[in-house]
Amino acid sequence: MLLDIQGVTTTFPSASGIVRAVNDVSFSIDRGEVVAVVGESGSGKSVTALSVTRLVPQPPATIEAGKAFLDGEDLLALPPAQLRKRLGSKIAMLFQNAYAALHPVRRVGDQLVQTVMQLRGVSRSEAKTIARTILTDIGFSDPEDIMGSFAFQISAGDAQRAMLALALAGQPDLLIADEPTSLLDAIAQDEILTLLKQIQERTGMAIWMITHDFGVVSRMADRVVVMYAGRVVETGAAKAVLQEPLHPYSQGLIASVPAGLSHEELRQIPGEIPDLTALPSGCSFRPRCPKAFGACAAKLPGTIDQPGGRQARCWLYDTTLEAAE
Amino acid sequence: MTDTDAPKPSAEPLVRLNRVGFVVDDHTILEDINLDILPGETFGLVGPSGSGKSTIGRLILGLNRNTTGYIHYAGKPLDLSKRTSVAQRAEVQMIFQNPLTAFNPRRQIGESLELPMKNFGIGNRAERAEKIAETLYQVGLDPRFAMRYPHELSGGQCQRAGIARALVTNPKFIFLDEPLSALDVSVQAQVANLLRSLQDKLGLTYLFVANNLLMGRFMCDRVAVLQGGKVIEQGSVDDVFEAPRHAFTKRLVAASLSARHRATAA
Repeated sequence: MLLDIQGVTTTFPSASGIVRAVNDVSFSIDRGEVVAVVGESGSGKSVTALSVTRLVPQPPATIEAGKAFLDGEDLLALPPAQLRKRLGSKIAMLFQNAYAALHPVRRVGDQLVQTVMQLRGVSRSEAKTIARTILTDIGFSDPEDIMGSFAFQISAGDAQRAMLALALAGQPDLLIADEPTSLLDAIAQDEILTLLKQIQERTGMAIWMITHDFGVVSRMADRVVVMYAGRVVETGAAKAVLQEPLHPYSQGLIASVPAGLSHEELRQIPGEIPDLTALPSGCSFRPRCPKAFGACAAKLPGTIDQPGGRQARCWLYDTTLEAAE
Repeated sequence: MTDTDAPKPSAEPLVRLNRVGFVVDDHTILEDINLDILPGETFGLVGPSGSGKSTIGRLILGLNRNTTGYIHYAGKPLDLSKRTSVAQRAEVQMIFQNPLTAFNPRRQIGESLELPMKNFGIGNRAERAEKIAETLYQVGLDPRFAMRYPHELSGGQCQRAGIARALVTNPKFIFLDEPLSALDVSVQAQVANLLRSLQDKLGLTYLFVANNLLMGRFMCDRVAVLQGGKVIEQGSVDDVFEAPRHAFTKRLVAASLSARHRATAA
């Protein structure tokens, strides 16, 4: 196991109370595995990644509980200097908006060469050679051209590929990709996803893919973690979850995406994402859930193991409850 | 050069673009665009970023002026002179991608909805208030939302308010510039269904810019595929997506649908 996240809880203060943006989240990522964390706004999918890497600004945030073992080392307990060494060289990140993440007034090449020097401890000239190789590997036919460019001079797809080059500079074991394609058009998205998959297969790097798009999941992921209102509600093999989702929220999300030839009215999940300062009692999805029953309002369901290594946080799968009724 | 179909209109088009071009400084943004948008249909524009999708809508709305060619609205040349175009401007409206930035944050929703009516001299104060309440109800919002500010609304509610603002002037034609892509997945289906039912009820004509081809396919009757400011292919949505002829369209369709196809076939 490469990364083992156990019970991470991150809170933010707000005018109307404490917000549990990440609420007792646990999941793991194996070496070389692609795990997609799926959720909508407020689900906690990004804050989980920022908590594990301790990039979430503290304050205002507080990581209240949890452990995150990377190769057996708890990232949440490491001294800051040690943590800094892990970031970049063992874990790298790719963000949604590459233009915002790239330096606005430094050439792509300068940023990349400096990052390579720092992370691999090589000389400037060696770093330049490595930078060229990385850029060629990810499909830039003219590495010199992109190295001499500023972020504002390149297309959105190229900017995201330049970010990817920076992320690969330290040969990380794990790449956290936070919605890396959601600002791109269909063709640029296709190119980035194809590239990520190729790199992952070639280098054996694991990918923690944060997305709201089940299309991306089906293309990329070995396993899926579905999050809702700060909690993990379902985990399982990507194929199994896409084909037969267990949690009513996953079922609704997958069914609401238009498919194929149909022009029939789309299936929709009623209501909207709850306010995290005023979560409903019991299961957070209950007010929107077509299958909710008595137990759902009374108590938050635990994580229930299902066949095939799957898990669902839903009372529908609690057999003891059935026996009691 | 282009292998575009001349559309076979079964009705008089509401909007016709005839050899429309748009050049800014020395940059050709649009070139030789020929489109007919029929009354009551949803006409889709698909293509990569920068291919000119939004610009076509802006030209029809009169927000930019085409440098060559002709645009006809309801059989008459698009007239942008202020005096005569008031009625026509009320008839063409727009819905934006990001509803939160499309509203003035310091105005209550009701004020933002009243403004276009005031602009076009529609009704008196009481009539306008009634229209606002009625329209909010129509888009699935409680009429009391008129008192709220944009930041007090969720993304989905705010986009419903954006739809209401486009409807208060009783438009015939609405330009929808990626109206779903800023919304959460579980809310997109709600808003897509709402847009379709409003179209049926009010007889609206939509021009729909779609980045997500799956959603485009669901929403549209006919589509035009743009690349580099030119229409490279157009036709019924099923024809274009099922049997794309142009190599670029094939690539676009393959890039967009592969994910979902694999999902359903998984």
